[in-house]
Amino acid sequence: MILAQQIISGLATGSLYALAALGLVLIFKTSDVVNFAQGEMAMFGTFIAFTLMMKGGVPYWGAFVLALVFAAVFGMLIERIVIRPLSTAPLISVLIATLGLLNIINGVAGWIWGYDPKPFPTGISGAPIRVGGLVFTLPTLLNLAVALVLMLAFFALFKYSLMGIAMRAVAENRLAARLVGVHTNRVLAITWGLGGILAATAGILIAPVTTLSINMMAEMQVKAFTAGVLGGFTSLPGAVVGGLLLGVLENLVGQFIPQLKTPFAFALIVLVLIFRPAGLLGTVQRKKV
Amino acid sequence: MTRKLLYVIGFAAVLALPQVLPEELNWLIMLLDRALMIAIVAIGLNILTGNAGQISLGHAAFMGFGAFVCYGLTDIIGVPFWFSVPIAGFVAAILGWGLGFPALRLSGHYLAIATLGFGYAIPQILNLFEGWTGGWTGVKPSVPTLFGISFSSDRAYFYLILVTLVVLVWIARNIQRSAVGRAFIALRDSEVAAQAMGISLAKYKTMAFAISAFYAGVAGGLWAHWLNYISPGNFGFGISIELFTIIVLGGLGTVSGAIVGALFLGLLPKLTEIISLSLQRSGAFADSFFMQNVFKNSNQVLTGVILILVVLYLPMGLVDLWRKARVWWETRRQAAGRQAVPRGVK
Amino acid sequence: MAILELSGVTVRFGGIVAVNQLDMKVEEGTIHGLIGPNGAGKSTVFNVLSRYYEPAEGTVTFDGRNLLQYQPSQVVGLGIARTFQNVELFRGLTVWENLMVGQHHNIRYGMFAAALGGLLPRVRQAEQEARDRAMEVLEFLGIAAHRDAYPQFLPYGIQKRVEFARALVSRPRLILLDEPAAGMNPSETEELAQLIKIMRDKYETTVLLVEHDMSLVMSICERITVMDFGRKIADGTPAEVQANPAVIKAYLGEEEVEAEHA
Repeated sequence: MILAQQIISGLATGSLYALAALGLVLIFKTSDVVNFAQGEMAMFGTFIAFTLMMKGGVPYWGAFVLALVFAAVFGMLIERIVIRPLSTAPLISVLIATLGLLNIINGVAGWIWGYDPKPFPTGISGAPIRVGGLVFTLPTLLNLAVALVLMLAFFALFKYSLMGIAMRAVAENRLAARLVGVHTNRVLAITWGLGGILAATAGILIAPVTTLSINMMAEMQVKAFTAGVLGGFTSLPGAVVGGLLLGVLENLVGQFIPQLKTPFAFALIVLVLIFRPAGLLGTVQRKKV
Repeated sequence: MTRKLLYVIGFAAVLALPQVLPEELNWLIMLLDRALMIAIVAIGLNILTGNAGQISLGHAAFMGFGAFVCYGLTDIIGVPFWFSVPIAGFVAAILGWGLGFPALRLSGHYLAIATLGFGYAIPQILNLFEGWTGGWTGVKPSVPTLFGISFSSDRAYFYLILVTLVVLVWIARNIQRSAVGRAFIALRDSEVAAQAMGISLAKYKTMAFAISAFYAGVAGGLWAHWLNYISPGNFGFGISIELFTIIVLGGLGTVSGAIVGALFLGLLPKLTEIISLSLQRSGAFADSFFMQNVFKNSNQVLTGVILILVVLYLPMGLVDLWRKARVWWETRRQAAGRQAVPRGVK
Repeated sequence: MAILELSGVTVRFGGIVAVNQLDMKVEEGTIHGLIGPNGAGKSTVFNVLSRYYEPAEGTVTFDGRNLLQYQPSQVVGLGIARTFQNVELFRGLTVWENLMVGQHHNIRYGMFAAALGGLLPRVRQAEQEARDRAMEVLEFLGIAAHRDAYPQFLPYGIQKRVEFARALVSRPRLILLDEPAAGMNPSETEELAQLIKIMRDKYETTVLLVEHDMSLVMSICERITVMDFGRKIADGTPAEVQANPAVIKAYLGEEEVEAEHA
């Protein structure tokens, strides 16, 4: 019973990791960029929602939606101003640019909202649901549901919609996609817009747990990387499965060997990358000689 | 000849610096000490990332490891300081060499993520050994004494750092000009061709990790006994990113780039602090929450902006400015020369 | 005597058989051509010889030794050097530094000696010898003037020569040329043919080349092996190969041969 409850609380944290990993994977899948600023985009969007609620008096869900709109525009702006000019630059340049963005977004957020942590409300509240001897809190269920719905929505988008197919084409071979008439720039802009939306969603759902501060995503971001790596980094279902699995494993390790709870995730990254670089559900491309 | 003379004068000026700087500029010596130790790590990282093309986003971990090894040797076991510093380098090199093996299977983004994870994991692991590292509360390494001289002041320590830096710069230049350095660049540019030339990827990638970890370990040893306080938490993502920023900013793959980058990034916060303080004292923005926050932390954003600008407009780094300026000067002189010739012919 | 011998070599990628039961002998001192239509498996054979691909079956013997027990980085030490289809020069190194890397297996000093550099006489001597040798090869190929240039700023034809030089400088007994004439015009190809011959004579090496350009192959190769769909379909002198109906069929395509018969 204790074990089952541990798994449930693992799923609760895991769903947060999954949410944070989804945006990373979406952007990497389409534009081949590991966005180190993803967590900061999440944090910034969350502060926008917070400001709308506190200063603007907008109700929770209204603020949520408006923050998503902002995040989409924000993501597209980042793509247009920083990422697109680097489309032919070596990988290391793009990596550095996203690290630069990390610094800028984090710093500017500090300028605007200061450096003190703030409590952030949850979307739903109420008595936890009990099934048998197990306890499910409502925010946990909401987070799990949102992670799963987003995963399914994006999975369907990629598989069935014209935009999704164009995104896959751009991911596969940008030049070929352009040759067959895909507007690659538009596709990339939309990808980053969607990436922004995923980031802000993750941030708003994570903030009640971590409390809202400019560094709320620092450790979460590494966990999101781990979740992405675990799932394969090119697979959206992989990101969710990876996130949930990481949450559960971490909790179980913490249950039995408390000192190893934090180092565990980092060890897991290294181990997975060595023994199964494609992750659980991803694919790895091999360079042709 | 004049160039050699310039070097001598420059070096003499650096040597004299701690002697001639007035008391009020103690902070400058302190910042220089820090920047030059960071420069040592950056030189090593630049061999790994700039030359051998292997990204490491967790390099501060090697520095931290070296710091605790040096502290352990000197203050727990009682090994003389001058001996424990290079030993810290070698022990860190063994760790780097070990990390090189998993890194063999990874490249690009995956390597970046793995080293990021490594950089987070090492402090956590160090923290578990409380008897040695003191856990999150940290430990207080002693002030080193060499030949009866105590290196307690930043001014005295400056010479210790300078000597180490000079030796390590010399070694880095030797390596870069050797078959080993050429092998690093070869495997960065084309792994397939490098192998066909007889370069074993396993041997040279792990070697690059070991060499760069050696530099980090030595600098970490100096750092521990300079700051006289270390905790595993001090060697996290922040310093790793600072190191990475330095080599990109200064110039990937060059020793001078690592030093220029380290000095630039080391002195920048003081510059922004001076400007912020004077603005704050003027009282102009006393009731602006935003501007007060800007004063508290402006160099983070500035660093980010500089990083992006460098990547977009100066991909070879700051040292390339010098080359560009020289090319510009040469073409100007040649243009002037060409104009002069026809006039003479007439 | 055969310096290189492949027997029953089969390479599979998943379910695809890229090379199927290939037998091939390369005689010492010859210029040997390996030709065939696109996708015939020629490059795969080269990548087997470089040890990038592991054959599922078969043996490869070089100079009496089992090549398959060596690592990719040990191949050059045995005496096999190669060039690449799409020039793979090191962009971050100058032309002569590229040639220094070409001699990597001959420069025998380790990491610690490298760290001390010119302080050690043996390092100085090893570097000097390698530099002399690099200059000699650069002069032989007529590209000594470009020694301090970075390769990507040189014309394509010169880059190809640099790659040649980088392979030659390792003193190979067998040199593998992967489509040396690709991207060259007829007069450049003619020049290249002469160069390959002179190179073989002066450096007493064996040449195995993969090529699309028939004129080059027919003019300089003494022996030719023809592949199609992973199999060897012919073997012999240029004249024999040209007269072989299977080769004509493979090159002209099945339909056209059938059309002729109809």
